[in-house]
Amino acid sequence: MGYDILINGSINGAFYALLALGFCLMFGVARLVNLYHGSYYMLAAYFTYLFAVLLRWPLLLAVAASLSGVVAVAILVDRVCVNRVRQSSIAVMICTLGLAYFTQYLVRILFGPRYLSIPAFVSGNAGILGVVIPSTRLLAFGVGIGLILALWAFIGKTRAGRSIMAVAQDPEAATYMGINTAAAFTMATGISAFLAGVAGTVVAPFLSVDPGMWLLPLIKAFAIVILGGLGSLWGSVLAAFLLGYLETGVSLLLSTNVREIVFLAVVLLVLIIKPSGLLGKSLTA
Amino acid sequence: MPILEVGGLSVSYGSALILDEVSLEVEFSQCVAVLGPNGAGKTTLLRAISRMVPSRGSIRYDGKEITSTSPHRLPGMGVVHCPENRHLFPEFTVMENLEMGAFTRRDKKAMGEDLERCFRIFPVLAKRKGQLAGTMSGGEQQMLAIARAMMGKPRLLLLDEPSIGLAQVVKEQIFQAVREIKGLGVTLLLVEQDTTMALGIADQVYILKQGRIAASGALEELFRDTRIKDLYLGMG
Ligand SMILES: Nc1ncnc2c1ncn2[C@@H]1O[C@H](COP(=O)(O)OP(=O)(O)O)[C@@H](O)[C@H]1O
Ligand SMILES: [Mg+2]
Repeated sequence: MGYDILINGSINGAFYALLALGFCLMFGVARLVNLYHGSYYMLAAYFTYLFAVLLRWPLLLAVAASLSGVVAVAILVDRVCVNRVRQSSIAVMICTLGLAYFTQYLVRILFGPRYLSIPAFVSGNAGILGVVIPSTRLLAFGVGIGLILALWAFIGKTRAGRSIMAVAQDPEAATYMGINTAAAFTMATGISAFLAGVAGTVVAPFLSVDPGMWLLPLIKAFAIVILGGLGSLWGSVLAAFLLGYLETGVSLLLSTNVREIVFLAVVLLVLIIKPSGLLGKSLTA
Repeated sequence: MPILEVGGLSVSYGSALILDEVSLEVEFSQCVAVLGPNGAGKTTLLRAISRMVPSRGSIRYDGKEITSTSPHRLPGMGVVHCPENRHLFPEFTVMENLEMGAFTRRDKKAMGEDLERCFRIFPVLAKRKGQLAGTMSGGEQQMLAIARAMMGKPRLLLLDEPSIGLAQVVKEQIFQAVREIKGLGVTLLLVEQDTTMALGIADQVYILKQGRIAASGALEELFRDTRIKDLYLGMG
């Protein structure tokens, strides 16, 4: 039971971290609450269905095309909509939520309301510490951890990463350093969509793909980011794993029905004790 | 040819005219001080030059019009802005802030030398390399802001009220450093309210009042004019 919670909790945690990091990045860099974030996740799954199942492309190519597609959509959404109303955070939320529903209905019209399934890279099961888990979940975990580490290295070590962190702290100062803040926003938007898209393509094989699949991950990402401390990337990772263990633990010990409630209760509790969330209030590398 | 020529520069915020046909010139490796009371438009002038606010009129740097240049292109061209209120990256360390200052540069070796020079001018920064900028004292933060600007290898340094809110001893340290920077051949456009301090460095002085140049000239000329001295230089 303990190992069950540890292993399955870690797998879920890595998935939630993938979802939440991008949401957190956009908040940190542009003070944007992007309610379209869950739609990246959904679109990645549907793109994969389109390319891999309907068009029968090789899976790796289908996934690469899906991720490129999601990043392109994100940049388009930013150009066409978010960028124009950035001054007002309420307008950004309304606009991104509206687009999320629009996308949901569009997908419903194009693909139908039924649950779809998309192929996985690997099949079969693997055993770790006596716990048997599907190989797809193990792959999802590996990819998740790999990307978290890659983001960490990117932000800490590369010029582009440093420029994003500088813009997050003070866009005016960043401009005085010669940083193109618009380019930094676009880069953050792309990374954010890419991470959520990976969550959609690597996790979708063992979940169902349906037009409403964006909402719950969005709510969870939002809650994780608030719990971690708005804008704190590593706070988000911490909170994501916390959610992973908590959900797994609650599902195994109590029931799957209460796990959402338990997590939200924990978020509320933490916010009452420490309103700025687990790791402070601002974006820290 | 002056390194910077500003001609008929006007800035409005909505219907409020903040700068009204301001013209000034900065000669290469000189220090020009813009003095004037709070709210005169000094910060707006520097922000207009670094293209952070839209303006009318002309701004020529190195003989080239830069009014349609994006602000983030200027540091690479040698125009570096050390802004009012410092605008450090609070969650970066001293060292990381200095590295950001050199963001547009690729000349690793010269950057290392510039870093050594910054530490020579501001020894306290060398001791605080690993400290988060946001946790330093006001004086140290100002030193870091100037050092960070110097890491951008400026030919023209726009320096906005470096002494504001600092104790007298710290002010003197800052101005000693600005003098050293001038000695390195960096052209300075210095905005100040602390007249006494600025006058110790400036070759040319412009006095800005309610968005207009009220007086200008070489230091000695302005000093000879007792009316200006009493009215604007606050040393009567
Ligand atoms: N972003 C802004 N919007 C509207 N008015 C502004 C803005 N920035 C400055 N001002 C106004 O412009 C005038 C000049 O300000 P500023 O350039 O900061 O003066 P100084 O630096 O000489 O103290 C002030 O009256 C100020 O209220
Ligand atoms: Mg000012």
